[in-house]
Amino acid sequence: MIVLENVSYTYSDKSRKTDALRGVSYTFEEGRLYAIMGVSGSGKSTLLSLIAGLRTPTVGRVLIDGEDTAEIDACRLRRDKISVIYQELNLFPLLTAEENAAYPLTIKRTPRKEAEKRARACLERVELKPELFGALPKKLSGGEQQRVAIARTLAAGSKIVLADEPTGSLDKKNGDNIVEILQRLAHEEKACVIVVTHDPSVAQRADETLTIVDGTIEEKQ
Amino acid sequence: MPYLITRMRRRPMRCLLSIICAAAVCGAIFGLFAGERSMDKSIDAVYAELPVKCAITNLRGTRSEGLNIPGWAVNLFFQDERYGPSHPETIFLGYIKEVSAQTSIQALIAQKPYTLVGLTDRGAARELADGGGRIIVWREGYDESFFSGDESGCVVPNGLSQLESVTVEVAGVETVTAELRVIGTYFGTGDKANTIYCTWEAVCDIELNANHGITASSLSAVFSDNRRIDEFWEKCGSKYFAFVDPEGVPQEWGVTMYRYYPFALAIYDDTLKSTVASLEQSKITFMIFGDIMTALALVFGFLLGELITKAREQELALQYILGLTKSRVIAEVMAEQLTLSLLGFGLAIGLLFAAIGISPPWLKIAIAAAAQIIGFLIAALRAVGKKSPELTKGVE
Ligand SMILES: Nc1ncnc2c1ncn2[C@@H]1O[C@H](COP(=O)(O)OP(=O)(O)OP(=O)(O)O)[C@@H](O)[C@H]1O
Ligand SMILES: [Mg+2]
Repeated sequence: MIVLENVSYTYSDKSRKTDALRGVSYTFEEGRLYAIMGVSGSGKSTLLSLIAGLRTPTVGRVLIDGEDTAEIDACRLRRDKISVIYQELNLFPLLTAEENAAYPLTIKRTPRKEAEKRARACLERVELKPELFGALPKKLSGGEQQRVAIARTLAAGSKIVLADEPTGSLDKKNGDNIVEILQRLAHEEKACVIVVTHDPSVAQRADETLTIVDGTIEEKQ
Repeated sequence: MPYLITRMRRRPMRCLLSIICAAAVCGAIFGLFAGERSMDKSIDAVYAELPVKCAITNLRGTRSEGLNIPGWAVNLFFQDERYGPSHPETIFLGYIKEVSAQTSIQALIAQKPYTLVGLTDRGAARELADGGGRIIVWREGYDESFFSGDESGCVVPNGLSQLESVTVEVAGVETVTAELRVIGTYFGTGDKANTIYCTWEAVCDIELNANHGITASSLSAVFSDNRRIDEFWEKCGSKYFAFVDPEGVPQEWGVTMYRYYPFALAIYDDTLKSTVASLEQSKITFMIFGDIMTALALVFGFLLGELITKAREQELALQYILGLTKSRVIAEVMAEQLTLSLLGFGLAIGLLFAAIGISPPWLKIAIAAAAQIIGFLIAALRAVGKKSPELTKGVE
C-alpha cells in the first residue's frame, strides 16, 4: 500500500525553481490498476520517481507499507517491492531476454539455474515467443522488450509496479496487449500497478483514473 | 557479480580497448625502466672498460717527463723497500695497476757516454713503439715482453749491434760496473741514438748500487677500479701530491709540503666523467619519463573511466533502478575494469619480460596500476555519485 501525505516536490535548478507537485495526498491499494493522466509537464513522472524512492519529497511523506521512503534505504525497497518500467530502454543491452528477466533473482543470489527456470516461466506468462528467450534486446521489437521488462517485474515478485508510458512507443495492438498483461498483474498477483499514460483507451481498462493538473490530483470516476 | 563474464564476453572490443590501454601504460613504464637499466649497464661498462690514467707531474701539471721523482714517491707505486721508505697506511697498489715508469742514468761503454734507460713493460710499449723511423730487431727468443721481467738484457742502438753483451760503467757515489746482454737492436736516427733500453729492474739495480737510491724520470699508472678514483685521491693520493685541475692551476700551491715535494698527481678522468655524466643524464631522462608515465596512468584511468561510464550510463542507471546500491554498482564496474587492467598489465609484463629479459619495476608498476584504478574509480564515482534521479535520466 502506498500512502502519499501532502506531498510536494520542487525542482531547484541553479536559476529557477519548478513546483512539479503541490500537496498531493492519495492512497494506492494493492490489487488495483491505476491510470494517471495529465498534460505534459503536469508532474506525472515526478510522482512515480517519488514513489520509487528515486527522489524524496520536498514537503510531506511517501509511505510504502508504512515505511517512509525518506527514512529507509530506497535501494532495498526497489529490490524487494517496487519495479519501474519506462517507455523504453528498460533492458540491459548485453543480456538476453532470459538473463534480463532473471536479473532481479540473480542479484538476490538465487542460484543461476533456478533463476533461469523462473525467468523462463515469467517470460512464458507474458507470452514472449520461446525462440526469443536467448535474443539480445536490440533484436526484439518494442512490444517484446516491454514484455521482457514486465516478466522481470514478475520474476522480482514486486508488489508495486510503476509504469511510465509503457505503451508510448508501441502500436495500438501491442499497447493493448501490454496493458492487458499489466491488468492481469494487478488482479492475479494482487500488485499495485500505476500506469502513466496519455492514451484514454489505456485509462479505460484501469480500475481508477487520476488526472494530474498542475501538480495536484484531480480524481475522476 | 551476476553476468560479469557474460557481459565482458559480449563486449569484446571494449574489453580489448581496456586491456590495450592498461598494457600500453604498463609497457611504457616497463620500457622506460628498461632504458634506465640499459644506461646503468652502459655506465658500468664505461667504468669497467675505459682506462683512466694518473701520472706524476710538476706542480702545474704541465710536464710529466724528465722529472726527478725520488725513491719514496716511486715506492708508493711499487711497494719495494729498496726504492725508499714504505708507507703501509697508504696502499696505492690497491687502486692501481699497470705502472708505467722510466728511469735513466748516464753510463760509459767503451769510454763512450750512453744513456741507460730502464722501462717497465708498459713504458717500453710506448717508448719502443714503431715510428720515428725506428725499427727494432729482436734477437732470437726475445720480444717486448722482456720488459716485464728483471733480466739484465738491453736493446742497443745500431752501432752496438754486433756485440753479444755490453759492459757499462756508472759513476755515482760509487762506481759500478755491470754486464748487460744484448737482446735487440734498433735502427733509427735522432736524439735517441745514444740510448740503451733495459728493464726497469736492471737499471734500478745499477742505480741503487751506484747511488744508494733511485730517481724516476716519469711515472704513471692505470686505475684498477674507476669507481674508486675519488676514494683513492682522498685516502692516498692527496697525502703526497698536489692536486692540479685540468687547466693546470694547482689548488694547494701554498702548502709548505710541496716546496719539498714539488710534485702533483694528474688524474686523466675527464673523458670518463663526461661520458658518465651524459649517460647519467639519459638515465635521469628515462626516470623522469617513467615517473610522468606513472602519473599519467591516473589520467588515463580517469579518461578511460569517463569513456566507459558514459557508454554504460543506461546500464548503471538500470542497475540502480533495479535496487543495487550505488556502491554495488561501482563495485561491479570496478571488478570488470580491474580484471581487464590486470590482464593488460600481465600481458605487457609477460611480453616485455620475454623480449628484454629484465625483471620489471614492480613498485612503479604497482603504483601505476593503483593510479589507473584510482583514476577509473574517480570517473565511476562521478558517474554514479550524481544525485540519484539524474542517474536514471538516461532511462526516463
Ligand atoms: N530534472 C528536472 N529539473 C528541473 N525541472 C524538472 C526536472 N524534471 C522535470 N522538471 C519539471 O517538472 C515539471 C514536471 O515534470 P514531469 O517530468 O513530472 O512531467 P510529466 O507529467 O511526466 O510530463 P510528460 O508527460 O511530458 O512526461 C515540469 O515542469 C518539468 O519541466
Ligand atoms: Mg513523464
